[in-house]
Amino acid sequence: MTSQVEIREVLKALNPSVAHRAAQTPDIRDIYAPPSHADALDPERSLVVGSRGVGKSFWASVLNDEGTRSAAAAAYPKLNLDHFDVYLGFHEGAGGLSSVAPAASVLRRALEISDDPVWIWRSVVLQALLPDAGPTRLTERIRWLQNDPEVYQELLNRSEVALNKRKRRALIVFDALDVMATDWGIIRELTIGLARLALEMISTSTIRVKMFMRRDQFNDMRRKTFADFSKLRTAAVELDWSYRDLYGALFSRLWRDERSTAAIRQLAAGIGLSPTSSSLPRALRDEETAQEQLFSAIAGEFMGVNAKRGRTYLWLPRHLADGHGETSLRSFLIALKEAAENTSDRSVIAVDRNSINQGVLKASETRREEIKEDHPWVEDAIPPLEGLIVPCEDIDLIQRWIDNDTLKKIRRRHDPERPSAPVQLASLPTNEDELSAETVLLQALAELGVIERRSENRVNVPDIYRVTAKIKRKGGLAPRKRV
Amino acid sequence: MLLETKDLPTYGVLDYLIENRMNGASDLFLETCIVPSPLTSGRGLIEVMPALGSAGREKPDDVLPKLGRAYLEQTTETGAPISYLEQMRILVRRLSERGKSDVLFIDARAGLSESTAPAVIGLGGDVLMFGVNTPQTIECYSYLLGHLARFAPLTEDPNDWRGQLRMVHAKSGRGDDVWRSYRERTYELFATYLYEESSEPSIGDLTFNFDIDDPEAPHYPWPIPFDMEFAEFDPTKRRSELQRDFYDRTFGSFTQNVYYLLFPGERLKDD
Repeated sequence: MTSQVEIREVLKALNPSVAHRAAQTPDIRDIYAPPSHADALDPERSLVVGSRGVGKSFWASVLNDEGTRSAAAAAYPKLNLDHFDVYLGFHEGAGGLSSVAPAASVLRRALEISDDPVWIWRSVVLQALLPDAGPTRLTERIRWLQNDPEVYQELLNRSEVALNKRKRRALIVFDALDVMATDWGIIRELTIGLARLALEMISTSTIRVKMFMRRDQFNDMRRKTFADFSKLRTAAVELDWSYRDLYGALFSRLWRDERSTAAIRQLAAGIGLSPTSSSLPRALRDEETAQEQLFSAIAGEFMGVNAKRGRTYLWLPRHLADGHGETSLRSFLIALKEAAENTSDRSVIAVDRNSINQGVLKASETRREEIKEDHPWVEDAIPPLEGLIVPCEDIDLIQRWIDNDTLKKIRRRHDPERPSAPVQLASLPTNEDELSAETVLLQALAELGVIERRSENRVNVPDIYRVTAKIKRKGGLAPRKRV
Repeated sequence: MLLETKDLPTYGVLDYLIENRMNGASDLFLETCIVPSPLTSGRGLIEVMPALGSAGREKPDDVLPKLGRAYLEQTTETGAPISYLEQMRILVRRLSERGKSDVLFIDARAGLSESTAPAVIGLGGDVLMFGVNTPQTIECYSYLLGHLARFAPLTEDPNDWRGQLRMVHAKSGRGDDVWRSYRERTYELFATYLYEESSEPSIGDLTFNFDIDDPEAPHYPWPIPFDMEFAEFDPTKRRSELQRDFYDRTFGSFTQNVYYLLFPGERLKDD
């Protein structure tokens, strides 16, 4: 029982803000490297796609920082990450003095003067590798290079020679591509240029490009079928978290934290795992039965008095999943932290089932905030749905948006940092008939995972978004009274 | 399949109910309704209490009148009625008290008669509801669940019978793409009749409501893929059909699900 108290304390102190900006230095203790994420860090894989909260910016920051990069290199020895010099080519908050990444305002101007957007990124790469060559201002460098392409070729060759001599390679990382502009048209052009750069760099021996891209933007690029992008698309890496990896990350934190390490080892021994080394036993990384045994010991096996209301091990991540069935590590950690804070000191387990429910509600609220931050228009699309009962027909949502002038509100919205309307709307002419615009809005929410497409005309809303939106789930019977 | 005609006991469940109504069925009479199945040839014991025994088989014209009498209410010495459900409960209790079995399987043959509803809600067991993905299946179950909805508990009940239900998708094909359409239909069925409207994620025993894709939900069908090999399944003639490598491909996940349903504590013991 004492061990449960220690585990609860560490859960309370969990730091769920794993995702932040690529330019920030990540906490080395937060790194958990599941085998399935190796491709996402592989310098040879140029394009990584993922939803909000899966850790795109986190991995970008891990690659960028020398200390965490060598930790990642140790976790994924085949990737040879320690042979790379890493530069951020773009990231959220770009434009600072210490980095070559241009600010959004600079990019806008740069696009106006470029014959081809790839010149912008070629200039950024040279700025990183040969900072002393040519003009320092980006726009001037672009003019200089595109006026004399031979200069560019010579400089690129020179950087390759220099890297080779030092037995080093270079990786230029691009994150948060959705804040390169507030206009989707500009973002698309810049992204096409970036795709072209990534393909060019593959033919060099020492320089690689890595792009972390949000899923809605990826889908948009795919729909537009740009020739350069399609080559990258087929090799794109999906970044996501399986239940197994989520629990692995949790146990890894409990295992490393000196306040809980003795307690978790004791519980692990109770299920027959007597670790021989200091690292998390393999079974707790990749065997679901062992993971469930251990999690049952700290959170209870079932969400009800018996098996009928579901197994806690599955219930928790399932109730945090979006419409694509994906659960973010951040939601998972927030839910557990909140559950620990709500569990009574007298409880014999670290977190009990009522507080796990509290945790899910908290994670749900946080998720809503995150989505709002990335996709401001969602705050216009969701409120009209209050009181809706799902699963329902497409038209039930569409009618509510029509009644509430939702499309008009979305189009009027302005955001200083990022596009305020969904990328899917950007391709529609502005005077289209409203029904098709609402259908597009529905599609945008589905791609985001806020709603889930069932059959052709039916949709559902996953719990993580349903609860805060005050959307109900269908049931022919009235809820029972609490005793 | 469990018994060949020649192995039938003299009497069956119908005879038991009638005897019980007239004279009170003795333990001795109960034993004349039960025989061991030869199927397992001694490796584990399966006992069978058929609906009809050999006596019934010999007089087929008596069967329908017998059915009618079996469903009649019984009365106690003071004249109070004992419902069909109560009679079945007593039978289940007596069978359990014989102490020979780990598990009682009741084949309620959902012909939608008076015998179906008591089996579903009254006997306290887990209920597997078989069906193929056709409109008729959904229609028939909607009659049953629509009727049962009026017996949903009104207060918290850890033994809520609704939690004991489970759909089984017979002749299902293979892979989630083909299972999905039946799941949508069984979900609609349960949501319409047995689930409670929910504005929060269901938790503990408060709101009885599940997501469509929740594999632990009662409406979520366990698939049994269609398999020609089982069209003429007759393990009494071909013993090899009871071997795991014969049945696992089709029934493997189903038998495992049933096992964990009956023995939930065993699941986390496996490695």
